[in-house]
Amino acid sequence: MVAMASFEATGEGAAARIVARGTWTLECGLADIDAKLRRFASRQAGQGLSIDLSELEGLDTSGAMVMQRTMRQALGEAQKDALYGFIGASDAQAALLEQASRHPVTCRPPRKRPVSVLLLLERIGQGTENVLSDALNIISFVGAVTARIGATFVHPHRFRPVSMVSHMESAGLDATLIVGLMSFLIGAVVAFMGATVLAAFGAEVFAVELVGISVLREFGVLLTAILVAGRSGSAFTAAIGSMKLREEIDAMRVMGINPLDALVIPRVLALVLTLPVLAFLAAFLGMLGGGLAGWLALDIPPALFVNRTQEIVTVSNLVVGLVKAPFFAFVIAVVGCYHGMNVESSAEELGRRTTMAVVQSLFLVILIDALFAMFFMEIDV
Amino acid sequence: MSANSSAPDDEPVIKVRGLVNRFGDYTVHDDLDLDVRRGEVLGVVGGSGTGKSVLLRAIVGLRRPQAGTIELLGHDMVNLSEAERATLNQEIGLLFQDGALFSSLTVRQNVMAPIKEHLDVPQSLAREVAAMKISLAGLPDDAGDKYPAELSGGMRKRAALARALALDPQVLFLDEPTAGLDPVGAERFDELIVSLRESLGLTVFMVTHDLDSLYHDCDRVAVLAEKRVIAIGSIDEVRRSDHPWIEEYFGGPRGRAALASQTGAPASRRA
Repeated sequence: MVAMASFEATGEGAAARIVARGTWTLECGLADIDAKLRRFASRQAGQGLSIDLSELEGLDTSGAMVMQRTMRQALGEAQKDALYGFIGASDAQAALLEQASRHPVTCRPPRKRPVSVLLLLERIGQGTENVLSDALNIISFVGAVTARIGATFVHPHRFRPVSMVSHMESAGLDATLIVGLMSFLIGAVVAFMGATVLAAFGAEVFAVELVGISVLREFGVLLTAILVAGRSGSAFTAAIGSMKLREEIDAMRVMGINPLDALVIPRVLALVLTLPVLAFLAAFLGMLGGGLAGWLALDIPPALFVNRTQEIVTVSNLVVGLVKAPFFAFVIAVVGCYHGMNVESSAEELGRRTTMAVVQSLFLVILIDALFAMFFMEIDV
Repeated sequence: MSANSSAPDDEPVIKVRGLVNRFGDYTVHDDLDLDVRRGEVLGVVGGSGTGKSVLLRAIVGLRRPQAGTIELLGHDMVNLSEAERATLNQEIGLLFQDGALFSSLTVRQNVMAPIKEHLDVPQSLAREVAAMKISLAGLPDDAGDKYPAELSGGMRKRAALARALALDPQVLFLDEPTAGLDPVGAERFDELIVSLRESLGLTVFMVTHDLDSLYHDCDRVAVLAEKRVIAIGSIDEVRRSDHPWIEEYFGGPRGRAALASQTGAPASRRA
């Protein structure tokens, strides 16, 4: 067992002397004598000191630094060279002391954070400004993407069908299972909950309308969009963002490849084309779930379910639902790509941007859904 | 590295025997032996894909080899318990190729991280120790408050070196320390390594491509090729080998320029 760091101070004024004992390393209790040494050094300031290392068993860079700090404070201007005032240092210890004296620690106290109401207001202001400038940037990005898509019609050779199909596969085809399962369950839950409440009025059979209208108009497309935002929107940000971090996007620009053509437009178009299909699948499976729950748990025979659906739930409900899908898809893809393209400098930023992309696209999807609801109410569909 | 190292001087710090590393069907190392002596700077060179970094990762225990034994400071790295690893990790420092600084922490916090993780040290002392290591690594005072993303490549390397030195390691591993640095920065880095080795008594295991670093820093050079160490020794000994890769490496224009600059003949350093 190595001896812990310790020291003995003898003498007064210019004759003051520290005998260092034990092992002066961070591992062996250098921290414990540090405070005592600081007090000693401030008492001794400017009066002179010698440090005796002949009984010392071990020293590391931190120990040497503490010794030099003490010596500097005690000697002040009188310190002539790196080893001045040290007695009995071995060659290795002398090398460490010289090393430490070349790097005097001038430790500024940590910056104090001002705390006040003003700071709170400043944060609110900063946050507001960020939201507004973000909104402005996204709108201008939407403009750039739209213009570029328009230009693609004039220059069709810029269009990258292979890339688009590949994104359609990963964002659409690969999502069918989870989207289908989710909407099947939602349909079943809506049927079940609806029927339970309506039973109080003896109107269980209206559960069919409830399922039909809510799933076709809202739940199918909205929940699909939410799922796709979490699944593909975030993937867009992460993929483009990590390309940005590795300077791949700059490499494209230098080679004369427009990153909008190569990365953004295939993703946007892929999602705009696949989300309606996914939403249709969701609507269908939602109805199926509702019908099955009605049949098995609520004794609504399938024939009755189909008949009532045909009579009352018109096709316009499905159209109202599906019409929203491309808009949702556009928003999800554009927001995802926007945040990916704006990742700067660090991997942490990538994570932050990915979260922001999902949160913002969810918010925008629900906002657009609300606007559509008002619009359809006005035109009486 | 404290001045009271207990292990005998003749015992190698790193002892690799019969090392086999495979990626799927591809064998990187086959029956590789290597010794690193206490207090030396060993340069490891080899063409791309000869497994220099793989060797380094295996020695520090980041990669489990398919066969063979690795001893680092007397510990068996292949079957190391979690507790042993924790103590051993205080004795080694590793400088990754891109620094691998924690991006969410400032440089000072990065250097303080290993100190605070392993030792019970008050904040004020930890800050001083960190400030000294940052200065030791050749960074200006104000670099401590910056985030890694705000630093240039060379400064990031120095900050990473400061972190690697935080706990006064006995063995320092460097993965391409001068790659990506400008000639002046690389030369300063070489000088820094040499001066640290002298004052701190470090053992340095350095993977490098840089011929100037080899001439300037290294006591011995190990050449990796054909899945093994084909030559090890002082630069002059290794250069005398007639293996084609070694001849090409040291005999090429860059090799000659580095040699010339070392022997004082007029030649541009770092071609």
